[in-house]
Amino acid sequence: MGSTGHHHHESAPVNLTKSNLMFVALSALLLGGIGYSLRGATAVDGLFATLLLAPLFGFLFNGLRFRSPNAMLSGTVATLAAFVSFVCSVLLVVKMSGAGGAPLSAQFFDWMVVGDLSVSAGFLVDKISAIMILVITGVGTLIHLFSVGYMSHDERPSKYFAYLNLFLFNMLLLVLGDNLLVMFVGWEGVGLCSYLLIGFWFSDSEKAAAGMKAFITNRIGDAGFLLGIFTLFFLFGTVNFSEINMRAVQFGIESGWAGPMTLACLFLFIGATGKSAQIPLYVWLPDAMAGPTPVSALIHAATMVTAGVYMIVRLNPLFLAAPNVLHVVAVVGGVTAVMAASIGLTQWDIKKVLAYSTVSQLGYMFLAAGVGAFGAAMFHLMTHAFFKALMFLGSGSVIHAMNGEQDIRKMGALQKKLPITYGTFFLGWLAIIGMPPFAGFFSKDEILWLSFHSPLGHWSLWLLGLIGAVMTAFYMTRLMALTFWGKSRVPAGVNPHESPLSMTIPLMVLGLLSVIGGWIGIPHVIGHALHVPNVLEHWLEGAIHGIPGLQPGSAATEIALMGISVSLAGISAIAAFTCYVRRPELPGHLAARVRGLYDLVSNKYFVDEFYFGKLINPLVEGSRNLWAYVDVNFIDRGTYLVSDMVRGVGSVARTVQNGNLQQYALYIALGVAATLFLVMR
Amino acid sequence: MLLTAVTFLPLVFALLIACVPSQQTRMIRVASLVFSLIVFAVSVVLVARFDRSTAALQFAERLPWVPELGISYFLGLDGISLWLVVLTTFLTPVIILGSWESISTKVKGFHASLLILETAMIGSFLAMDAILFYVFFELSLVPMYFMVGIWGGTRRVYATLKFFIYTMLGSLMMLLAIIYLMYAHHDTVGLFSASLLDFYKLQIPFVAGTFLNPQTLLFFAFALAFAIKVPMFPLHTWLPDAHVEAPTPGSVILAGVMLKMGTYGFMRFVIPLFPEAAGYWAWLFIFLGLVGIVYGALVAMVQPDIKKLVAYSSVSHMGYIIVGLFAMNVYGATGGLYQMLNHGVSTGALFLLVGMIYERTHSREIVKYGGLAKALPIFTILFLIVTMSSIAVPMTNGFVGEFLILLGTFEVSRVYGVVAVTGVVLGAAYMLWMVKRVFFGPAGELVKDDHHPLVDLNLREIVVMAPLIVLVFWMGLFPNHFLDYSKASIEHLIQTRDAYQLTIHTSAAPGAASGVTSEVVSAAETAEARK
Repeated sequence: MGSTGHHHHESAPVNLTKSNLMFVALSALLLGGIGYSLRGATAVDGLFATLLLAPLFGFLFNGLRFRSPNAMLSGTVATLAAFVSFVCSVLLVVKMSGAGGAPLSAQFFDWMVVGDLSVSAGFLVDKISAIMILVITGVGTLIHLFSVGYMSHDERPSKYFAYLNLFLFNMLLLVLGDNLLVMFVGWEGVGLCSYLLIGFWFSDSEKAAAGMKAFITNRIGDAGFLLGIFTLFFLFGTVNFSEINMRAVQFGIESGWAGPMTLACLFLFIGATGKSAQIPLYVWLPDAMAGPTPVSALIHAATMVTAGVYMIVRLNPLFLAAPNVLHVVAVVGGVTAVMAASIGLTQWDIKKVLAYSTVSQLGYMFLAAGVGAFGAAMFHLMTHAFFKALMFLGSGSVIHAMNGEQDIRKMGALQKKLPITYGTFFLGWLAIIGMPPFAGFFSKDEILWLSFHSPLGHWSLWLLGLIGAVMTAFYMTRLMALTFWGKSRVPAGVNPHESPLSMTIPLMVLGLLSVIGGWIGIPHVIGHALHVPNVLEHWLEGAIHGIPGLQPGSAATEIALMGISVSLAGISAIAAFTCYVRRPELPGHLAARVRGLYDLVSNKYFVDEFYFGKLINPLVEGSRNLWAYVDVNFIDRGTYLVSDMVRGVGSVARTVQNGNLQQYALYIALGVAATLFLVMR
Repeated sequence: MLLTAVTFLPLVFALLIACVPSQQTRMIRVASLVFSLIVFAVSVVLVARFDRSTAALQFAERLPWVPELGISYFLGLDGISLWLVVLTTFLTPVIILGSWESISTKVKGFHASLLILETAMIGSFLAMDAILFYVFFELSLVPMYFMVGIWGGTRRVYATLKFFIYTMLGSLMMLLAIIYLMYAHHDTVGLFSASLLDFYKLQIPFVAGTFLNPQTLLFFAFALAFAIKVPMFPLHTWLPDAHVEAPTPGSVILAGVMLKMGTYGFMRFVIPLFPEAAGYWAWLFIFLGLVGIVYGALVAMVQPDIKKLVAYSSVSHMGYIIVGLFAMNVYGATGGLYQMLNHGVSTGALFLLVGMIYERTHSREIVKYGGLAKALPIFTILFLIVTMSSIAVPMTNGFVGEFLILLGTFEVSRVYGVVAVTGVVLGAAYMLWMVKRVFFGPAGELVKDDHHPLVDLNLREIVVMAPLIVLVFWMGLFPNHFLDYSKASIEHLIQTRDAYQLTIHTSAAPGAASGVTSEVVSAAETAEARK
């Protein structure tokens, strides 16, 4: 943090004043516009406006002085903007629960009004989006704060914070929009910011390519999302969430595959697989680790990638009306959870391990949504935001300390050097492997139990979840062991040091949340004995439809399943500890035993190779052929043929084409006159 | 007189410019800029006085021209043409300021051509007499021909010939069709007329499924002319060549306005004049539009030249507009019209930006670039914003148009919708891949400092781009500010397509001079009396 001071004199005062002037002018314009549109507005409108626009102002402020190397100023403004949003979120949620939990809404202006389509810039806080805005702005503020230290040595901290604020703005649009179109605005907006931030260090071709890959892959999902919007609009005549949900209930349950609601849900789910990195569109997320690590924490773990889950939860009555799609969601989620976890077992880059872990954990959320356990999906979304943001920031702290090194083979025994990072990472580790009473235990347990018990679930889905949990415990323990425990493999010349307070405070807060975050959703089998209510379930009542046909389960079964998953995860963690701390030679032997399988997994099942080799490269090659054969050889040849024929007739014409403006005008006039003469004759 | 003023002021100004000595280049530039701003101001008056509540023709002016043939000087404005006129008057000063330094030879001729071209384009959008339209439509070719032929690149002769042959071929067919319609009017009413309003009333025999019936033949004659202009696949190959050889201002005007004369023609002539044929053959045009979307995008992806890439992206974008128009519902038509404006703004901006970088490096080869973002940050920011608009990211103008078109297409058929939506992905692919290769990565051979360090945009260039950038967001965030003016006309077109009629707005437009109104009324009355 202290290292920024010497940059001050470098920033030319002329530039600063110019950008400041522009900022003042633009702000005045914006404020004027907002003031105008808020005539006769209520306090709620004001809260909504401030909540949304604080990050936008931060973006403008830092965006206009993007050349400034002053990380302290940029970071402070950006963090404050995020914090203002957080305060407004809290106020809004308090106001809402004070008023009996009825949703609060604000309509700002009509956006698109064409035919029967009428879309307004309308926003809504209900119990579902309340959780989202608290997580986004809360965790968001912490990550902004962390970034101040993390980006202090960067060339372009102002640009970075501008993008980060812009992301926050779009993410809030996404979750607060009261209709599909406003959500889509945020949906593509966060994708854009993700693109800009992944490719933040764009001079590196690979990083720029990763950003591009993220955007284009997401666009495939977005195309599906658009088709979903179209289907719903022509079915229900509206794009408003509450109306869609109401009509979906009226329409009743669709059993086949070709029904309009089923189709709409399938289209929307394609969108979700893009944004939330599920099979088959998950391939962009591991590459997205090219971005600065706090970005991975905020965008690629805690918030943006959960948008797909949020969208399904927001439309839960619609998805319940299309149970076939829910089955697809559950299977895709479950398989993604296992597949990504298995890749995580073999990665050596600290961020790649966390990235595949994120894909896997998102799979759990979809598994939950797919069995109708929307509350559990939101619960896991929230706890995951805490512990995964924590671990990403922790990895950032490690990378920062290691001068940019990300290979865990070159780490080890960092627990002494980085005590706070280690301690908080340790809490995150316990949370993600599902040890009671840490946050991840409660949310993951609820998902496993309901995927077994829900009428929409199946024991095989539970089994997928269980296998995923066992693998999670293994790869996370492996990560802990290789990074913090065992013998040091740190190369000479690197002297890891603990990060400054601005970076460790967010770690500590998130560490605390990773411990207690799950206590708001304690299951009845445990809560009953301890006289603790399930606060979250209570909170979401009414906002989320219950699982249809859910019978009260047997407490014994629930406890037994819980015991199985916790003990298997524990055994798996101990096994990983043995492999990577006690007997470090063991993993190599094991890998050699199953060389073929190991290669398959460590090469990520060759999915990228398949996409590039079989889809993208042939498409580019085919396009070259199209251009060469259709345009150049076919259409143009045809044209020449025609023109040659014309030339035979038109040798006279050539003599009159002498490039004289007046003469051409004359010819046209003559032509018109001749035509008129012909007509009059 | 407002319409005559906005149409012919540029021509008058062109004559004035012609009187200035050729050496006075600065004077010529300043005068042209001021003149074009005056024309823009007149068009703003049109917007201010425009009555949004009606689909009828406003500010109509009608004077007999060749009374024996029913040809008249007949101008009128409605919600379909209003913004196209404003787009033309808006882009002209932008182009003049944009070419301040890049056009250094025959400055006088260039500015005179540009202003004559403005008259021709505005006239095409306002003419309500088919012959008058034809005259303006053809007149627009001449200055364009010279713009490419004189200030163009190395293969300009080839490109201009290709451009000229293609478009002339199409418009000749159209002229024959117009003459046929004039006769048809004579046969039914007993009098010649070239008025579009009279043409709309004609019942032209149509037989489904065969070609050799009057309405189908006429439909294709008109459609061919406009399809070449748009250009629709497979008649598009003149466009990339013309763009690559055209100087920047030529490209901007070509992409920004002239292509819209084609899509406008579909909206004004083809669909309302031949409703049965248009309805019957809509599938063909939607199909070709869809092919254009996908084909244009795929071929754009593999272009080695930035400008050619943008040109092929136009083929893709214009495909969207055709699909939207032939969806023949209010979403598609509104989206189509909006996309005409968007394409004018975004692709115009892209060509300006490509021109700015070309002036610095004298190359448009993508492989020679790389790392431009580091060297030219302001240029990069503007280019990225325009890219976002071009690939229809929400909150930019492109999204509104593309969304409405896709919505309209989906209403016609899910299959069409699914095919059209692939353009959303491919569009992002070709633009972002180009952006990656030009702006990101290590510095390419043209960007390295050793020869001549690149200089970021100067104030003039920023001023050129600023209004376009403002429009990108304004049109993206508040589309109703624009669409409200077109709503009545588009709904009228869609709802009464089978028996489309256009009347002249008789009640005085707010603030319109009373003299104009009575003149209009009397012209309308004479027209009525003739029947």
